[in-house]
Amino acid sequence: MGHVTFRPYSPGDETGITAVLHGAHAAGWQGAADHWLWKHARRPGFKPEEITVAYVDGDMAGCFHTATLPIRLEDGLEVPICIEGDFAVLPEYRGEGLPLPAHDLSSERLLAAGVILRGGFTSLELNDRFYHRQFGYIFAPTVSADFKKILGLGPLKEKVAELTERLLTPRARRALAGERLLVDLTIEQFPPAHLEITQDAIVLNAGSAPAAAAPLALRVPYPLLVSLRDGGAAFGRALLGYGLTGRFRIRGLWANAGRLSRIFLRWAKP
Amino acid sequence: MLAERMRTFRDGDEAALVELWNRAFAGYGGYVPRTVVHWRWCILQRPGQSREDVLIVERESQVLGYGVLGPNGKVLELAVDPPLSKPERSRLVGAICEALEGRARARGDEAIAFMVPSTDPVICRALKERGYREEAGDFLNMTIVNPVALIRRILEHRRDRFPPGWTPTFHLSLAPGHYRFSPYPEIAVAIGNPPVVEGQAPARADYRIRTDLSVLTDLIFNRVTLAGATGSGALVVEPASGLEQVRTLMDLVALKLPWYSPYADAR
Repeated sequence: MGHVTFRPYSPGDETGITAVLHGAHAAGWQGAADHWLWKHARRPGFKPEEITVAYVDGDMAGCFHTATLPIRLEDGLEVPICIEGDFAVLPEYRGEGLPLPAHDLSSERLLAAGVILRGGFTSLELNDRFYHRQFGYIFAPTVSADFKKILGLGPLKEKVAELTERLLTPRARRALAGERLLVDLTIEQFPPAHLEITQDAIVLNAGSAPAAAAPLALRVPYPLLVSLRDGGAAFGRALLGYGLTGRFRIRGLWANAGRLSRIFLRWAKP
Repeated sequence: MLAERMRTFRDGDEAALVELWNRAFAGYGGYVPRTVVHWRWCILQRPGQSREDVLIVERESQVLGYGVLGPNGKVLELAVDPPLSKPERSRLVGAICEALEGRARARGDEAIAFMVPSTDPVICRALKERGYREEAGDFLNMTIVNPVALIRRILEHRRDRFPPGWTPTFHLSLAPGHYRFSPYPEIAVAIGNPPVVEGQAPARADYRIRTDLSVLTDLIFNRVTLAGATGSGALVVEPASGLEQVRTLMDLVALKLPWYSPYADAR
């Protein structure tokens, strides 16, 4: 590795820093210069030394952002915590230990500045694998729970693509050989969509299937989709319940009877 | 009963929202206590954020609850007045969720996510009933920069809990454990009014505690018990007869509130 130097942020670094952030994150750093300015330089109480910029042989190679804020420990007890984020090292400078001296340097600075704790938002897996082993980070007993709900077809398409790998077993592919099954989906509060099922893939498309193709039609309550992730038994129970109450419905079975029979017979064949 | 109404943010609402937040989460640690200045920066000045993203339920000008939809469908804050009855809270959470979902759809967000305390059954049940699913998330990890200052602040804060006439002195010898940065390998604790905690070995102490900074972190943040630490040999008390005194000290420095950090704090 070349000659490494660290220095605190100074106005004018924004372009270089955001370039490092974008270059370091494969999926692209979320935000642009205005997001960076808000998050760091415009935060009440911001100090330039809360951002460390790393140079290797005179080129900006990494950046390490912190923010010192109060954290509540109990009623009437708040202490300063340095919340870290936006740690980035350009790919060509990785594997050479830049974060370790940057972390050590900031620890000395934080101690001198009266900071008591430091932390950041991360996954259990990354903390166990890296932060705990390298620096002693732990998770205080937390009750934070992350709840998500899909509202649009984009994430649903991704879930269907993930399911394809699980559902299209060799046996299923054999059963679907030469077939193209179209299924119109009506999911509560979602725009219309249809599934296209072949031996190669299961794809979710926006809009209804062409009526001329005589598609199967499914009306699906959103919680039934959610239950898919709980395994076959839970999904089966949910399917039965929603079927009995009429919230889950299938239409077009008769028009597709021939195709479905062929698929079933090929699937059942040893 | 007077009807509630849902509306979007208006200038001047900040103080009521901040007050509601701090009251609603008084039973938790691990978050940035809200002030009007911090809230304006964290919520209103966030790029891409609109006042239409802050949805407030009120009754006769009294704020009963609110939710803030942030970028990418993440709900930055959700708070409901704690003294309300369970059915009222449940109804309000449902109404705020519905409004936030509507706002998310109008903005074109394809998913919506909440970070809520799992110990609040009203909020969790309301979300599950609306088809939400709990997923693994990112949480706030933490390490101690200055154990001397932390112990001092906790003991000063809790000095009214000291047993009457209790004035022992302790000498903590700390190996680094998993820490790379451990500025105080020796700490002196003298219980008194005020308690004195210093980052150096005392001239003499009634009791010596030999452990490492990782184990001390686990004890302070209530991840292990003193019995567990001594049983595994990770913490040794000298003389052994001082175990009860050390137990009293550790009970006094252990932080027992569960941590809850909303999406707003993850920025």
